[in-house]
Amino acid sequence: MSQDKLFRALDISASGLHAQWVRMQVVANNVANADTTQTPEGGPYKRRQVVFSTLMDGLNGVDVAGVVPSGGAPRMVYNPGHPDADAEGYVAMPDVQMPLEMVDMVTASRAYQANLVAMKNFRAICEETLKLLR
Amino acid sequence: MQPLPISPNGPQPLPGPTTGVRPGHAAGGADFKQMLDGYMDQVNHLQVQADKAVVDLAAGKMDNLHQVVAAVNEADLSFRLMMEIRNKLLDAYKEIMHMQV
Repeated sequence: MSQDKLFRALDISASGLHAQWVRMQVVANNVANADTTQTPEGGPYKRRQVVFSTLMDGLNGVDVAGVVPSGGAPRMVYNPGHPDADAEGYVAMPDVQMPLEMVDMVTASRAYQANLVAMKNFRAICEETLKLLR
Repeated sequence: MQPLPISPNGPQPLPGPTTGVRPGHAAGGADFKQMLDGYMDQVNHLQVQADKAVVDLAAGKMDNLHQVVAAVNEADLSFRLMMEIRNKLLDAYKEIMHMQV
């Protein structure tokens, strides 16, 4: 993205939309895997968190720096009948907490809407300004 | 005073010491045309980019919906800006054409 782009605000808003989009996907993934006990790397699913970073000089929007697994301890649930239960009958469940995920989802969707409004407003003022030429 | 030569190909420079100087015309004229050409190129480039983004999205090659939206919006706005400038220039031209001499 060049520094002197006329409609850079649109790109910035688009990057914000994309970031929140990814965040919503991560939350959806956490919710979907709330009871997953088997993963390719072994052990229960670990709650994922999205990390954002600014693009270049900080005036070019936001970038998704990565999706990192949390270091939280797994939730131990007593369930001796479970195939993944240990010798004492405890099953390691993911450290996903539903209320937290719900709050994250609401925050992400509100932030998405905020970016959409920023984009719409920028467009509207551009159109208003163009009307001055008529 | 000598009669000026009449050329069917448009206005000829006036004879005399002012020939070739014409302040503000030689340099300004070329610059304005270059600027306009450059601007048209940019608008066209944005249109092509937006078109490509939409095609890529439809073909499933692009997963970033928002970049497509931004590209289409940018292309639309810059095209409108170009149209407004074009209309303004044409208005000015018509105004000059209607001028009583």
